[in-house]
Amino acid sequence: MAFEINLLTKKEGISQTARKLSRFMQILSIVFVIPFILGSIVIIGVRIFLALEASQRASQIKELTQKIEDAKETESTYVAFVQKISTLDTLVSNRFFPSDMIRRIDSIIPIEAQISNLSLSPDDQNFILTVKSQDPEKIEETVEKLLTFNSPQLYEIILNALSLDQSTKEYTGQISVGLKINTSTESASLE
Amino acid sequence: MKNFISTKRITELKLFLLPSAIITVVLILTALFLVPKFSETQEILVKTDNDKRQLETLEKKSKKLTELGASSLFSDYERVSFILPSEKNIPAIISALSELEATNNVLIEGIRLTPGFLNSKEDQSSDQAGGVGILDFSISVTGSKNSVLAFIEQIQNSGPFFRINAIGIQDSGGSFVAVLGVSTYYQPLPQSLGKIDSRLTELSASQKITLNEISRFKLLQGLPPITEDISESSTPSAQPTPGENIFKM
Repeated sequence: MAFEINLLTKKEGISQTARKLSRFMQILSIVFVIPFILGSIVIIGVRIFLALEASQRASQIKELTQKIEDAKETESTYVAFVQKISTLDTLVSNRFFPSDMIRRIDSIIPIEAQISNLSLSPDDQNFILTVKSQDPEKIEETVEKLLTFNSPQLYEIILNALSLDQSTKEYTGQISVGLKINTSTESASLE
Repeated sequence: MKNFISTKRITELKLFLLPSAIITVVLILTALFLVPKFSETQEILVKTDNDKRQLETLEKKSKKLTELGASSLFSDYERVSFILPSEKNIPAIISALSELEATNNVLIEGIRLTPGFLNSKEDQSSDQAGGVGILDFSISVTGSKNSVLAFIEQIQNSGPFFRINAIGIQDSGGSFVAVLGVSTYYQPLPQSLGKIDSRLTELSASQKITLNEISRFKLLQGLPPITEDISESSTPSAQPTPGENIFKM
């Protein structure tokens, strides 16, 4: 009898532990299942929404692509237009205006003298100016007048040679001028 | 007794069997289904962002093209392409110089072209820099000082575009001669427009200023043909119209 009672007590103890563990396992399975179901619902829902949006967007993209294809002539004209303007922007801003410089030099030299020869290009750091006059002093005066220019850049005016044409009695002065010509503006740096 | 114990054990094991199976199935489904779907959804979200950006770009481009179509783009382009042509056009250059000659009352006594200038219509590397073709030549201009200087000023404010690279002047009292080193340019059309969703480049501030400046350029389209007296018997359609442009743009 005592043995049977002890045996009965031991059997009840094992069952209780098993039941507790079983309950724990059940709770654990619920903890796994519910997030899985919720996660699946969310992912499927998001994908359905994105698919609907993507379908709508695809039709919009198709429509816009067709519109742009139809406006191909306008686009090609515009692209060519911008390309040409870009090139002209560079070319126009780097123009060299020699007439302006020639007029300025002409305005400062004495009336009795005149420029007979001038060669100039934008990249030159100096140029040769030939002045003719019946009076050699006018040629010297030309050199002095050139020296009075208030240029901010260094320059030098040198009368290289002075010759006389016996037949015409005309003096020719060869003057070298060293300066930097600014072609980005419409005026030379001689002011 | 032993039989009783094993039955009990089986019963106890059965209590754990179902939850364990459920947990195992959930874990397997998570690994095989949920995680891959989550990764795919992330990729779809990235693609959605890209598509949205593409849509925005296409909308802006379509709107811009509609505005351009209604603007003066085509007439502006005609003007710009006359100033900077898409291909070498020697007759236009000669014609422009002739018009400048007549307008300024000077005489162009010689046009010297760069060797190889007329060889081919499509010049490649040697005279092209950055896709722009350059035609160099020199001209000798004779007249009064003021008219020659006016010619020099006008040539750089005209279309086709001319750029003076060098100048030599000789004033012999009787006549004023200027020898000009000149370049004129042409730029072939772009080969392709790029992708359909490529953006349209806007003009910069400097380019807008240039556009404004070249709008004041005089387009030298050549002198009108000299018309003879129209007799009553001649067919009107056979007679050139005074002032008719000889260049059809």
